[in-house]
Amino acid sequence: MNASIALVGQPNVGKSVIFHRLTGRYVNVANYPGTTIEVSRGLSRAQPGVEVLDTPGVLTLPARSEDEQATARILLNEKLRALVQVGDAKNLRRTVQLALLLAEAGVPMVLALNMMDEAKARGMAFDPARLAVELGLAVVPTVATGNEGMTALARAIADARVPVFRLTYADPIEAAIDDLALLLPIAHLSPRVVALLYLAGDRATEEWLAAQGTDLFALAARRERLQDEFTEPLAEVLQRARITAAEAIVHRVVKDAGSVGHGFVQRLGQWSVHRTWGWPLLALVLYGVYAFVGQFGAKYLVDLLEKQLFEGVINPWFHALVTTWIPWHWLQDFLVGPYGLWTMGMTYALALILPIVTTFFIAFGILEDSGYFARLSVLSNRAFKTLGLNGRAVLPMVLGLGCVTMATLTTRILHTPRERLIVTFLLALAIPCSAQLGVVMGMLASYGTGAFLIWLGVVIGVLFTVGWLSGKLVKGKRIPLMTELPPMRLPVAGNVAKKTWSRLKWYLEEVIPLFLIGAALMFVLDRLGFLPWLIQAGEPLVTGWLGLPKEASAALLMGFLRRDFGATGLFALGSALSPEQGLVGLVTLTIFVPCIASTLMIIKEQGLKTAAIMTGLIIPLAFLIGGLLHRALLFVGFA
Amino acid sequence: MTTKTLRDFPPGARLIVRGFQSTLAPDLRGHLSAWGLTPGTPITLLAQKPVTRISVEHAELALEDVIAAAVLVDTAKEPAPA
Repeated sequence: MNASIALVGQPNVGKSVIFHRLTGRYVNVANYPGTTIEVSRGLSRAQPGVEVLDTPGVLTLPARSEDEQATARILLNEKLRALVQVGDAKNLRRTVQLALLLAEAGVPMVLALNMMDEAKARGMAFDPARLAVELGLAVVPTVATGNEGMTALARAIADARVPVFRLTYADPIEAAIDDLALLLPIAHLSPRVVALLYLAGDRATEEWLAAQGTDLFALAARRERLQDEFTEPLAEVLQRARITAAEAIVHRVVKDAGSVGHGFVQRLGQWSVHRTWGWPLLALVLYGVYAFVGQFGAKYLVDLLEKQLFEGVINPWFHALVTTWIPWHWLQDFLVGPYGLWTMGMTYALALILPIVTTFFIAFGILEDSGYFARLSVLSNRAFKTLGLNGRAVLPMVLGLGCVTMATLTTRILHTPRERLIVTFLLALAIPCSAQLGVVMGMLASYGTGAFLIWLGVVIGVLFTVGWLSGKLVKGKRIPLMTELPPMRLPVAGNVAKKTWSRLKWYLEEVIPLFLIGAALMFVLDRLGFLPWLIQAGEPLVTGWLGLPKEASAALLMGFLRRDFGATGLFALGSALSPEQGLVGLVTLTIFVPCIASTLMIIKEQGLKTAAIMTGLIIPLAFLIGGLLHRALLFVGFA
Repeated sequence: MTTKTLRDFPPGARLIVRGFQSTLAPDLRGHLSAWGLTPGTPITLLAQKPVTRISVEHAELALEDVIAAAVLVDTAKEPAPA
C-alpha cells in the first residue's frame, strides 16, 4: 500500500478546508469544533496516487472522546509519507504544545500555521522561520479559506523531512521510555512516541498494543512504577512538560501577542452569550429563520412551485402525456395516480420539500459559518442541566434540525456514553429534521401563529419531560459545562453557497430515491388491497383516538419511511384537514420514529437492542401525546 | 498560597492561573490543561453569567460554576510603567 499524507490538528483550525484545497474533494466544514467526526480520504492533486487523510480534531493526545480516538488510530495504523499538523496561528501555545509530541513521531512532518489573517487582525506578530528552527521542521503560514500559502504547503509536503527535534522529559520518564521501547512492537510511529502515548494512558494506543499481542502486564507494571514517582497523573506530568517547553518556544518566537479584537463581529459574539442580550438576540435569530424558511420558503416559494408550476403547468401536461401514450391503466396510475411516482414522489420532493430545504440550508449555513451554534451552549446550559446534560449537547440537537442522521453521528463529540445515549434518544424522539421542519412550518403557517406556538410548546414539553426522565433513569454522573467557544465570524457567501449545494446534492441523491420508493410502495400496497385494509384497521386509532380523517393513516404509514414523507402526506391532504386535525397530525408525526437512515445510524452507534427499545418507546408515546393533544384542543375549543 | 478562585473576581479581571482545587476530577483537570489552563498562564475573565467565560491566548472558554470554582487564580500584576 502507498503511504499517505495525514492532516492532524486541534479542533476548528481549518483541516477540512486545507483537505479540500489539497485534494479538490469537499467535505463539510463549519465554524465549531467537531465537524469532522470520521476520517475522510481524498487523492492529492500535487502528488498523483497519494492519499490525503482528513482527521477529527484532537486538542491533545491522549484522546478523550471517540472522534479524537479515530485520529490516534490513524497515527498508529497508517503508514504515513507525511504528517501535516494544521495549527491555529493565533493560538500558538497550544499549537506548539501538540507539535512537540508529533515532531517526535519519526514521520516526515510539516506545520501549517493557518488563520494567519485572524492572527494579524488581532495585532499578533511572530516569526514563522524562527519557529521552524526551534521545532526542526518546515513551517508554512496559510490562510486556507483565502487559498493563501497552499502552493508553498504542497511543496513543503512533497519535501517533508523527519523533524530533528527532541524534548527531554524528567529523568525517570526518560528512563521509562527507554525501558518500554524494548518491549514495544514495530510501529509506523517511533517507539518513543508510542511509549509517551502509552504512559499517558491513551486508549487507542492500548487497544493497538493489545491487538499486536504485546505483553500488556509488563508494560502496565512499568507504567505503575513510573506513576509512583509522581503525585499527579502521568498524563498531566507529560502534558505539563510539553506546555512548559511550548511556552518557552512561543516566548522566543512571538514579538507581539496582540489583543482580543473589538470589532462589530467580536462584539456580536459577546452579545450572543450575554446574560441579558443573548436572549433577544436568540429570539431575533429564530424569527429570522422562521421568516425566511417558514414564510418565504414554505409559503411563497412552495406556492410558486407547487400551485403555479407543478399543479398548474407540469402535472396536467405530464398527465395528458401519460394518458395519451400509455394504454395500460395500471401504469398510468403508477405514474400519475394518487400514489403515483410523479404525482406523489417527484411532486412532493421537488415542489414541496426542495424549496423548503433550500431556504433552510441557506439559513443553517449562515449560522453555522458564523459560529453562533456553538456559542448557544452558554445560553442553553441551564436548560440542559435539567436533563442531566450540559450545554455542549446543544450542538448535536441543533444539527439534528438539519439532519437527524448526521446529528446522531455527531453525538460522538460528547464526552460520556451516558450523554450520547440521552441525546441520541431525544434526537430520535423530538427533533424534526430540516425537511420535516420545513413541511411543518409550511402547514402551520397557514393555521396561524397560535398553532405554531402550540406545536412548539408540545414538542419542547415532550423533549424536556422525557429528557428529564431519561436523565434520572440513565445511570452515570452529569458532566458540568466546559467548552471552547469558536470566535464569531462574518459568514462567507462562497462558503455558505458551497455548503448549501453539497447538502442539496445529498438531499437530491438520498431523499428523491426514497420518496420514489415510498410512492411505489404505497402504490403496491394500495393495489394489493393492504392500504385500504390498513386504513380501515387503523380507524379506531387514527379516527377514534387522534380524531383525524381515516385517510391520514396513509400519511402515518409513510411516516415510517421518513417523517418528512409522512408530514408531506398530511400536507397533501390540504383542506381535508381542519387546523385542529392538522396540528394533532403534525405533533404525532414530529414525535414519531425517525427515518430509516437515522434508525440505521442509531443501530450502528448504539446497537440493535438500544435502537429497538427506543423505537418501542417512541411509537406509543407519539400516539399517546397526539391523542391527549386532540382532547386538550377540543376542550379549549381550538378550531 | 492563594485561595481565590475564578468565581471571586468581576468580569474584566486579568488573572494568573495558580492551580486547581484537589476536589476537581482528574479528567476534568486534564481538559483544562489541554486548553492551556496551567499554572502561570495569564487569562482574562470575560463574564460570570450565565456561565463563567474566560479568554486564554486568543481562545474563549465557557466553564460552569462548579468548574470555575475549582480553578485557583491570582490577580496579574500590572506591568511596571517604563
